[in-house]
Amino acid sequence: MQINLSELTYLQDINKKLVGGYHISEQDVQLWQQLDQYQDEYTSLFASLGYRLKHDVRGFFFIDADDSTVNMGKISRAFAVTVYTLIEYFADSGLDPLRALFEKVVTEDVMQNLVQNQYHLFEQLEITSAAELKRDVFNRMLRNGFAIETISTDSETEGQAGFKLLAPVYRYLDALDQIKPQEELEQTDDQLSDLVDSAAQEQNDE
Amino acid sequence: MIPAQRIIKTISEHWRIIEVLVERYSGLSFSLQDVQNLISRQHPDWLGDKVFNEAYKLVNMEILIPQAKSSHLQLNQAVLEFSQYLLHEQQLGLAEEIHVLIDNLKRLSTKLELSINAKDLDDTRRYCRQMDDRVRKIIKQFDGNERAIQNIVDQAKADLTNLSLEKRYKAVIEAFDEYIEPMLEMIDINGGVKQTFDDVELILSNAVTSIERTGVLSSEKEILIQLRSRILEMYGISLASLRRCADVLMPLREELRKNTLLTQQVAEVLSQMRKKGVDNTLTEHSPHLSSDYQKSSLGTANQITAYMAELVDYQDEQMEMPDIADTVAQLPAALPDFDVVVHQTRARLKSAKRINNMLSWLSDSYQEVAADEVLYIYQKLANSGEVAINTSEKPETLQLKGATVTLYPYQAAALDSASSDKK
Repeated sequence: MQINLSELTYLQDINKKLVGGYHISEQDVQLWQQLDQYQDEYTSLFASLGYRLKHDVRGFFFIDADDSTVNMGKISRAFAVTVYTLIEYFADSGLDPLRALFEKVVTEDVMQNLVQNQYHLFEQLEITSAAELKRDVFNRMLRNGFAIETISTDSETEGQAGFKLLAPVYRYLDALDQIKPQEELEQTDDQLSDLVDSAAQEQNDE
Repeated sequence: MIPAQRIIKTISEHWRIIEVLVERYSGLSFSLQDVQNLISRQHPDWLGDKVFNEAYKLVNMEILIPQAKSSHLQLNQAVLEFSQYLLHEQQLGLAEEIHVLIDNLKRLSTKLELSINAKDLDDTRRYCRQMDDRVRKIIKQFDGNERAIQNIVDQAKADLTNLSLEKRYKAVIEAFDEYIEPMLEMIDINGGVKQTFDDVELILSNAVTSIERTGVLSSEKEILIQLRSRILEMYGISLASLRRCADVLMPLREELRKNTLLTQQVAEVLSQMRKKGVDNTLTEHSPHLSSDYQKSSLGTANQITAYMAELVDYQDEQMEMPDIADTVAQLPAALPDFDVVVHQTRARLKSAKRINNMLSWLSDSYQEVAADEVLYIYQKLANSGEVAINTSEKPETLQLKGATVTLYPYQAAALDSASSDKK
């Protein structure tokens, strides 16, 4: 494949951001347009550097990594807990959780509420106050392209600064499917082994 | 009587079995065959009689207890409670239990007051211990009940079946009506419990003050102070716990909550995190943001260009390393040992009684030594207290090695024999 590097005007920026773990979504207009336009070029360029550039149809690009650095793993778990507790929070407030998750601005009050109501969980992440949640999670979400800083326009919280989540958060919603309660796994163990047995049987028959 | 260590060892050996029994039957009965099935599933390589023996061992250790008039078994209540505590599977207790405990606390405090007034050491100690026990039990109840409510809520939220809201939330509403409301009424600022706590605290405070004043029963003071702070803490804990419980129950009770597939999944995962820990639940499945490989590779195009440019310009250069044999050995400056200097100065003073210009004497004696080092020795000698030092009245100019010095030189004399003896 012939890649004309002079066409890839944002290569430097895009490379720096993606390799650093940043997720480029439609919010980053220039980078997004360039990636969208030259997707094949970028994909093969990154592939030759050893990276898998992924395009998610829900509107974001990222580099798919096989494992995490110890530190990033910890940060990712904190993101997950925050996203899931936010869903709980919105559902409990009578909102449609999925819509609220991407539409509502997470203000300091909301953070306070999250930490207070899910204290046992955040405690495990060494987060015990709204200020710590903001510093350890939301500011890092900014740096990784999971959120933007914005001002709330809701009537109740109008004018308050906060964070709005972006499309890459879908990665955490997808992860929910992966996390199966352990009990269920044990129970399906037997069925699984039955399946494997019968599959082996069939192969033998053939 | 079975030795405790053996029971604990057996529990630890068969912990997985007990875990499943608690999760599946939690207090209900089961047969010995059920236990054997569980064991043989856990250890597929064990033979039938070994499985039977291990199952029977659990009965022998009284971890499993036969039910009255039946061949069925149930978990020993003590083991069940302990396991439920470990697995965060507690059952919701009764509001009345806490009420009784608090009433009892109040009665005990009155008795304690009497015994302190009567200066009865044994009774005081006994009541203190009993009150301490009640406080622990109350805190344990609150803790367990909070977990239990969390479980009830999680179950209601994660239930995937298409039940009507009324049915789905039945347990929740019961928990709210039978536990939270009476508790809130009880713990409320205007309620009787606050009054009780205040009374108990007052009694304890008075007791502490009287001990401080009279000194009687002073050995019990520490215990009383501890008890008081625990009771104060308990009130805070109970309020916070109840508030959290009410917060999680409220949205369900008011039927505010939206239930979707997403919220069911989330509730399930959160519940698992609560019981098994965040790291255990998420480590394998949370999305990877940045790998070690990304961290260690060259970051920007600039870095890569710079690196390539360096490579392009690279030329190897001939450089001859110096030969060891060619170099002149550098000798360390012949700095005389200070002890030797002192010794020589003393010897000189013995013969000459005094040295009028110490610097000139030093530079004459050590002609090899550089000027700054002579000055160093000169100063060190003057400050050492080994010889008696006077400053000369008139300035002198001296020619040292490569330097000219003008100074009021120190004059040295031997120390008095008396003062040198002291040393």
